[in-house]
Amino acid sequence: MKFGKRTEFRQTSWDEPEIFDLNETGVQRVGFLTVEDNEVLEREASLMQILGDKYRPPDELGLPQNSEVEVVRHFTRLSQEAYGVDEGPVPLGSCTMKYNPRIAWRVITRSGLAGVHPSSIELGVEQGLLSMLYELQEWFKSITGMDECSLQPPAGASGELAGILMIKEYHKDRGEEREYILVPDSAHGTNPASAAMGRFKVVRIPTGPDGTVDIGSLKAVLDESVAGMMMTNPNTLGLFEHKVLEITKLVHDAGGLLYYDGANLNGILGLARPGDMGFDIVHLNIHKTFSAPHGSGGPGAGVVCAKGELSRYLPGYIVEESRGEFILTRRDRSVGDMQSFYANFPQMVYAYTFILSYGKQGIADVGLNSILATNYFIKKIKGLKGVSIPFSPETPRFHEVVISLKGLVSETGVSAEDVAKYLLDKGVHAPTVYFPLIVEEALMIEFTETETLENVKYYAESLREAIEKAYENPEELKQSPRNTSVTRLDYVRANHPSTLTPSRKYEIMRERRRSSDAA
Amino acid sequence: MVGKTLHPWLPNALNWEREKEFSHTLVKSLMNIIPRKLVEKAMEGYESLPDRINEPWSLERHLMSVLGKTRAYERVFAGGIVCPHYVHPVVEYLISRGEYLTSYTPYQPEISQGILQTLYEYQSLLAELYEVEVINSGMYDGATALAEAIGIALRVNRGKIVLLPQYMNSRIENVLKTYSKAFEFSIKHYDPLDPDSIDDERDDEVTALVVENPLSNGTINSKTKELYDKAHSIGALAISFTDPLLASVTKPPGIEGADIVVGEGQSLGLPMNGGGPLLGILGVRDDKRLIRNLPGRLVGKTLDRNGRRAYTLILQTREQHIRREKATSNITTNTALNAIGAAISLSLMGREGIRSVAWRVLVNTSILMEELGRIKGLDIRTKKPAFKNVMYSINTVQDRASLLMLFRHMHDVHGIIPFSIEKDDALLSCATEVHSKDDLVKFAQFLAEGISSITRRRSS
Ligand SMILES: Cc1ncc(COP(=O)(O)O)c(C=O)c1O
Repeated sequence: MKFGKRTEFRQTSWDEPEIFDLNETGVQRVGFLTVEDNEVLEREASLMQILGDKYRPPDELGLPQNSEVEVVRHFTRLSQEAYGVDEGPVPLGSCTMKYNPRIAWRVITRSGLAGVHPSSIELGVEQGLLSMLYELQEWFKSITGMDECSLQPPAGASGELAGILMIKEYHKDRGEEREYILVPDSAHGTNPASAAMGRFKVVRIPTGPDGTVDIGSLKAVLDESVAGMMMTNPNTLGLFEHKVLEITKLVHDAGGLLYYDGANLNGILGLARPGDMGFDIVHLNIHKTFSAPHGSGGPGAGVVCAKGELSRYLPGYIVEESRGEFILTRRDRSVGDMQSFYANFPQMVYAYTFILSYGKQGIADVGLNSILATNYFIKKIKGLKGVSIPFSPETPRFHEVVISLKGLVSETGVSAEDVAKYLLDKGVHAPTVYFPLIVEEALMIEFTETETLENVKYYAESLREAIEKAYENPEELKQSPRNTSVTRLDYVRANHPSTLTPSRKYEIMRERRRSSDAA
Repeated sequence: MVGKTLHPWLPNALNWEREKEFSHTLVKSLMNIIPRKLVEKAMEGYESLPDRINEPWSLERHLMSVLGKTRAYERVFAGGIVCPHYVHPVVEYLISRGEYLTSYTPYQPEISQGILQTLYEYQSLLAELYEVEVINSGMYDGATALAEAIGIALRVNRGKIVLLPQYMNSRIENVLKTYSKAFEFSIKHYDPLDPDSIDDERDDEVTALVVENPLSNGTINSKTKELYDKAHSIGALAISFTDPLLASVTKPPGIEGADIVVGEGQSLGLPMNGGGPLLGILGVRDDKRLIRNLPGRLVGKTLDRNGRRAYTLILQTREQHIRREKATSNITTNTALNAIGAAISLSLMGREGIRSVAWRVLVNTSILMEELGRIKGLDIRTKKPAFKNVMYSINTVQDRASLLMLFRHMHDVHGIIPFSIEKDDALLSCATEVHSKDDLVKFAQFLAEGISSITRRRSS
């Protein structure tokens, strides 16, 4: 198959000035309200009167002034220097970058969600929204195999923190002091970070030669000081932890609790449930498996579910039906609130739309289609020189695969990062690089169910091309990317104290200091 | 059983049929890997999921029937952390562009310059508002941003006590209590109207002093500077929780001496969304230790190999993906799209626009206070001048059941969302730029009528 057009990829490059530098004339422009001259006078007089010595005069506020059309163009141009799922494949491993259905976005806008005050939820006049939350709770229970779910956490990491606090409070209520949380060395960085935030000590459990948790090492550390264990299954290598039932039993027998990082459920949707595997607490990322967009880094939504006794510790609110009405309730030992209000609603609309659109008839196919895409990709790249699939290369992967370019870097000097940058030039997004940490020169690739076969093939071919080039002309990869808005960046300059520039104000301050030092 | 569902979001469903050998072999080996018992239980469990809704028009119709409703935000007077603000069509349009909406966190800077520059502009615009040098690219909401600010203080300063103003918004305090279980600090309260009440001797273990502006009851804090000074004199860090709109017309916290600034960014023209997602503003003054301990993402400016101006994530060694259990926080997904929305909104408003919005809020709040003041039996707890929120209680309607009745009456009869219940009988209503004078006058009238109708109904 030919993909000629895509090798011609050129990303837009506007060299767009910063918003502060757009208006070169210095003349006042307005992009928002029509401010009448006499109104300005009236306003300043009244502000001075109302605020007294707390008054901040306009010349002490350094905000730019642009007309509406300039603002629209500025941010439209900037948006064109970005690359999301709507532009092409974004096979970032662990990120589950699937298509975000437009129908959900339209319903969010048309239903006027923007105008809903949280009190309307709390005091029950938004029965429709509450019924959506209620149904979602029920569906997430079915999908996870847990007893109860809270939709409050604003992201996966917040769900993890909630889970960690649940574990902490649970043991405290039993008068037990357990100070360790076990985390496999393949785990996502948020797992140890969340455990540490809850003031637990983190014990790293090594991965065995087959790519799953090493049972011997686990047994060696299990005792009454272990509060719990956080696990991801399939793990970040894309491998199913086939000893999971044994692991959960071992930890439970030692009095510990089991936390399931379900940020990414794509690999087991319809195939297996954390509740049946023996987990006590689970979090889900709505902005991964359940199709809410990533929004350039957020907002997302996390959902935490728990089993049995642990349900009493769930954060936030649970929607219940009482006398024909949906109401918010709290659990008696709740760890409290993870954000100010009840849930991230637009994200919930995505999940609601997603589940209804597939229904019980189709949702298992989401999982299967993503697994098939991953393994199809593996098939296409098998045997590439310098590339290996660490840990059980012949075992099928689930939602994602991690490959290692250790061979390539030692033979050619071309690193995983260089290859990732070369892929950008091919008009596709790079994979996740250097994660998980247990794989050297890692590229982590996750095609979801929404990526076309053509693009999976194209990606494999582009990778093949990159590897071939690395052996022929490594310099070419070191010079990539060339077709993106900018070339590789100067990270020393970006992070060095003498050149650090986190804001315009900082930049001006630094320049002033420099010139006064010189004088 | 290989994915045969034909669905618009499953492009390859039938391709796998053509790749029969590959797909059948794969599915077979998956079944050998997953314990059989698990697969059976999953299939059983999934039976309780709903039936699929096929056609997009049927799906949309169903969704609208559950979620749709007339919601006019100028009829929302309920206050608290979230109040109705004008969401400009340009903001709504731009953040719906796929490039912003469907992109990941900009870890690959060469292909994500637009996102990075937009977030850098967000940081820079907020740095101007608060007059501090560093603002990160966003936290979940104001409350969690404040909790993380306390986290910074606990790392750089001694002690384990945090002083909060009395009557701080209970939703915020609830979140702080949750985080206190993690960070292991204790909360004490002080009277924000009387900085001298903070005892120098007793409080030598105070890690941070939180200063609100406006106070949660809407009163503008006239003692901010004294409080920041007080914090420093007792060896505590000064954390400012300031409304970004108010900061455009009052002396900003950075100038007055705050070490860490926090705010709820929804005031900058973002949707209420039923309370989430919001936008947590978090920043610090130029101080190496504070910057190194800042949680969340930070964008900085640099050059590319050709010497072109470019932007990238900076100081990433603070974050979980590098530092794991030693990270400053576990946060990764934040509310970037809302930060982008805030940057666009601030760019539209500009210096004059934001000040005129803030002014309208001030003027409208004083109208609301006056109008509410005319209602008999209403006890107003907010002092003038106030910004956005007015706190009051109603002598004749105090228990939760009656308040709920009043709330529903206002909603059912007038389509008005009248107040939020802050705590016990304390209510919060707010006035913002979206309300006209007429809206505010009518609201007070309807509220007065509602109160007498509820009081009558109850006594009959
Ligand atoms: C495996 C895993 N766990 C946890 C997280 C954290 O989720 P969030 O970014 O929503 O906080 C992520 C994603 O970043 C993830 O991939």
